[in-house]
Amino acid sequence: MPSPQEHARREEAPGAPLSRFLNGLGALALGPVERLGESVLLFLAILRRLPFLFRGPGLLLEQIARMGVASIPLVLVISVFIGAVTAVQARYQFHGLIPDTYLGTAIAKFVIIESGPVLTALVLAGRVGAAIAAEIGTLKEKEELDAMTVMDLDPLRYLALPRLLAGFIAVPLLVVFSCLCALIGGWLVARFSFGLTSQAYVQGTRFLFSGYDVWVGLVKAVCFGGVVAFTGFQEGLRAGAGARGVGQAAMKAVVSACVWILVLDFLIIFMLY
Amino acid sequence: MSASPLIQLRDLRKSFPSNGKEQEVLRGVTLDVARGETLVIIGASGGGKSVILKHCIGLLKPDAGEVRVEGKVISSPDGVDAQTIRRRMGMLFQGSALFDSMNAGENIKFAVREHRPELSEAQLDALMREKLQLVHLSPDMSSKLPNELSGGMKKRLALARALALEPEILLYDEPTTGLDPVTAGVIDDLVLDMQRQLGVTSLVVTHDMPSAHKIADRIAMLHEGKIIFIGTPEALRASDLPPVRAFVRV
Repeated sequence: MPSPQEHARREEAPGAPLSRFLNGLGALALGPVERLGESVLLFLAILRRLPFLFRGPGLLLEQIARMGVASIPLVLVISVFIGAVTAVQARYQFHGLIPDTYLGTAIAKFVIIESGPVLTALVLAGRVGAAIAAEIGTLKEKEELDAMTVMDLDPLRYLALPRLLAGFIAVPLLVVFSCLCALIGGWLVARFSFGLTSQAYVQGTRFLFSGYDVWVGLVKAVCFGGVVAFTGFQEGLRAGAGARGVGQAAMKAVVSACVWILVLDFLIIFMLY
Repeated sequence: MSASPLIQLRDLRKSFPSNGKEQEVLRGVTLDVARGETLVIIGASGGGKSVILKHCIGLLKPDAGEVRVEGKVISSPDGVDAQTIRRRMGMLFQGSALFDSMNAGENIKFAVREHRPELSEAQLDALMREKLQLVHLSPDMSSKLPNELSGGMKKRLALARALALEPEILLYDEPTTGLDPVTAGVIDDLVLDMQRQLGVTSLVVTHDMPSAHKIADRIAMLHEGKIIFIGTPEALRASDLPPVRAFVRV
């Protein structure tokens, strides 16, 4: 005797499988659009709280310290090595074609426009974005977000706004610091491994130096900072129940931020050059 | 008690997604809470008791039905903003939901500082000490972080925090769950004190029957998404309804 499900399958209209397939396809296509729409609405909702910032800048300063100052050691280490690796790679690629005196030029261009903002943001997505997602996810899990709402304390004002603005402010500052560290890392290799004089290295960095490149790097850094903080907060809000849900939220925050950083990197370069 | 109920739930329905399907948790809950009374909702774990509380304070919106507080609809976009009602309500969460990053004193003062900016720090401190004493906690523990407190102390601190905004309605979500009988008794006494001393209206959800009998003016039983019984604790004991008998006997 057929089961009820089997019976229903035999009885269904001839076009039903196609209809189900199209429904599934529609849901697949609309899902990302819906998520993007949600993100835009949340972003605008956070920005609408901007006037409250002037009533309590303490939360913003605390977040800048947590996001920016606490990340300095990590950014220092990765940036010095980025500069060093860039120096080695540049010399390997240019060897026999371009004199070593232009090493500083290559390092400065690459670090300011590309590696400084992008790699710093990717590292911060792992350090800061994941931490924000885990923190907000835990607050949600422990009903602290509900408790805030019950006491008429707006979570977007007290939690989201300071983190988002801290992302916009702290990441560009860290990127500037990162670029300086990378230039020092490049100089260390150029000076002590390749025997380039410090004067030649500095002259190389100044050759073809453009303020526009710095501006592009900062535009990227501001955008990436917002992405890191916003995706962290949004994934935290979406976190499922329990430790697994919080862990998943942290992972999704890092993945989303990394993807958006690289997509925005392309779009900004494409539009500004 | 006045004639018009303070909180009215009418044919409340709510579903949540579960394993790809919609699971209906509330299937037409109708309930009135009178001003000044303590109404306890009992029922099995996972049966939707906390969902009812979250509807009463506007944390959840019903799929169908209506929530009225003081005659004002808070459950639909056409009704009043739940925010305006919330300021008159306090809630004690099942896990206390204390702000872990703040000490006990700050947990109490935080919301008051935001909503009553005219108060000085000295006045806030005085208010904090008063609320701590109200729940029989020493003001000396105001510097402790929530993770340094026992389960019972956390519940009492959460109650002090809820009282700081001087609510007219208090919602308690499983106030005695996870506590030893002596501490649970202390919490029960506090619920009674809040009603007697401050005249607050209380809506309590629990599956702790001794606690329900001790604090309730009336008890409502939620079974399979509906209120199947409502009456005094004595009427509950005398009820012939099989689900009530089974629950009370356990």
